[in-house]
Amino acid sequence: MLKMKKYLLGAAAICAFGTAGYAQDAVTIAANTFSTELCDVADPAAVADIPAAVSGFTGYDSAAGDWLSEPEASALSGKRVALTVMGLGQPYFLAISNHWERLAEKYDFELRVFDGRFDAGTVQRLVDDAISWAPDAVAFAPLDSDAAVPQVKRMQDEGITVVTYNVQPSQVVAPRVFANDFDGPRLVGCNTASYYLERFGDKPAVIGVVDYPQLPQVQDRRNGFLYGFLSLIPTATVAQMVDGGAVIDRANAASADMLQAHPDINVIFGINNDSSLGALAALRATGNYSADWGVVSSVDGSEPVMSELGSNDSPLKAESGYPPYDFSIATFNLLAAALSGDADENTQVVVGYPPVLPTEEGIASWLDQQYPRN
Amino acid sequence: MGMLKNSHNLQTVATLTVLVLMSAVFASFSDRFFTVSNFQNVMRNAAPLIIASCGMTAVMIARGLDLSVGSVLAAASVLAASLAVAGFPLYIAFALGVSFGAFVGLVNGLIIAKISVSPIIVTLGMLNITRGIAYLITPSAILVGLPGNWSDLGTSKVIGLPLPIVIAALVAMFFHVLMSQTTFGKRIYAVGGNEEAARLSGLNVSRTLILLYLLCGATAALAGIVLSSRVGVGDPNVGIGFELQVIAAVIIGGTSLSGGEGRIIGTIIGALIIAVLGNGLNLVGVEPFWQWVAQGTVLIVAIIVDRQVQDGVNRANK
Repeated sequence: MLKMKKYLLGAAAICAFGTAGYAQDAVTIAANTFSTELCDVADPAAVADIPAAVSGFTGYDSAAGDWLSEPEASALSGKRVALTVMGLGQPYFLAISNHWERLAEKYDFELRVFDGRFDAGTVQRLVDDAISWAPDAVAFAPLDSDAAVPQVKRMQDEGITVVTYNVQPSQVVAPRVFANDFDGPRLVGCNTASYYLERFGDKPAVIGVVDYPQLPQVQDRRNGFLYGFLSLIPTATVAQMVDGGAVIDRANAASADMLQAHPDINVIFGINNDSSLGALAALRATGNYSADWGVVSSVDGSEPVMSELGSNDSPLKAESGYPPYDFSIATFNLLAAALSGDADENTQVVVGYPPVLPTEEGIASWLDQQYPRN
Repeated sequence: MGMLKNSHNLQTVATLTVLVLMSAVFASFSDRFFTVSNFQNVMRNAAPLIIASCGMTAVMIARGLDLSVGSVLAAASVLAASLAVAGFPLYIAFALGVSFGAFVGLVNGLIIAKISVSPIIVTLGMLNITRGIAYLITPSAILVGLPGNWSDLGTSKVIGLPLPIVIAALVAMFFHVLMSQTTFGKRIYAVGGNEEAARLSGLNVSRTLILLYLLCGATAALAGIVLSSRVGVGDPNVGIGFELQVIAAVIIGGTSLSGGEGRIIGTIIGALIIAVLGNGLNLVGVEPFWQWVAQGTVLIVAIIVDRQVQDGVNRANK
């Protein structure tokens, strides 16, 4: 079944690109080796030491229901709803905010967006501000799992219905939407390894990770990627993991240092798009920016990375999206369900990390739905 | 010996010694440290820091401070990037980006010098304003569709040297000459040494301060454009916390927080200490969390060594 799906996708990619002479292009190889299914572990010993997921303490079972479709009517209509975001400076949260504004218009509810600016103090204050605004419901994006517990309880004590999304609180306090931060990147690892095998054959794979070790969610991303990659290429080695700060300027400097320390690195995983873009800039600065160099991959699926994914010159050839539309609509539906008493604190919706087919059509389809231009 | 009794020279030698010792330690742990490509890597990464630190050195010698440099860096770079996307020729986009930084510095200087508001308050406010402007300029958060030659400034080479290094060297030379060879430079030290005395002796203190903040804004903007060119995108999130690195580089380089003392050569060494420290720890493979500890420790030790030398010279000169 898995192989059949791969062949169909590969055939679709070749059709999309047309001529047979194009068959060896990096993008075509990436499309041919692309899969939406997790790969099997070739050698259990190779992945035995990789830690299991730490962020999903409630497991990854999703409540039954069609959470990703826009309903005909919503319990949020006519209500006052607050949306908090970790930081509007990130494309992902900006897209979340845009999706919610469209939903507010479509379903006729009053929406106010509160920006946490990726700062714990600001998030603390915005909880007070949101309470003062007296909304009926809050879609809350915690910055920290532990701090989120009292924050959610304070809003609930004021009679406000709360659903959390993205990072989940460290205790079961409210309905929640989150992603499987291990399996999503694991799929990227599988696709990266498939591409690597097809393009570079038996050449030893040496991995560098542009990391951000402060967040458990990111540890899962890193470990998931390594699990996926080593599942297919058990002989691969991890040369170094550097702290790129999850922002492009620091990721660039850290990647450049990592490549100096280990010139044999030929696989780089960025824990988010800023990390992979920083790594690509480091390769560009040293004249190694080429699909012949090796392979770069990451998760997020924001617009700048999509242009890299679809370029035959770029080494970035595997990407899974962290889907802002899916998060928005799932949170919207779960908040409506909670408001009408159809969901409680034990209800959770787990959103996937859809891998992005690296063809023009695959990229356009992803961007049109998740990052639409207004 | 006479030269070493000069406190500035000895201080520079002490800071340079810290840099050399640090480099020797890293070289002993990593055979990749002393290579031409890593030298270029360190210098390329240090270039924006050196550029911005030059402007900050002049401001701090005049007993000022500019906390807005990180945000100015971001706003100027996304402004230039958005102009380039809109079809403006690159040199015009770069020039307007630098002009934006100079304008922000001018506003800082006017408020500080003419209304006598604390530079910390004014530039802290400007930090927020310019970061907000950066986000307002780029509604899609990271600008894409930049022209193909956008990265040339950050990645191309001149006579075998990466262009960012050449730009940093030119900026440093400009500030060195400005501060050591011109009347304006003497005024900077006079204002920082004793602002009231400088005023009573007929110096136009306000004009000096305004010009200094203008230059500081311009250098922050230029640093932003070099950085943005190197990473190949216009991103409003760059430079968060950059102001602290800049201030650290200036202080490590021997510029006094109480004003009146400091030199560009010291600042360059201070910036290189910060850059080499980050690079060396990565090359040696120190775990990320230990890097935080190591960076803080080395910076404190560098300052202590510097101040001990300074005190020793002062005692010897008495």
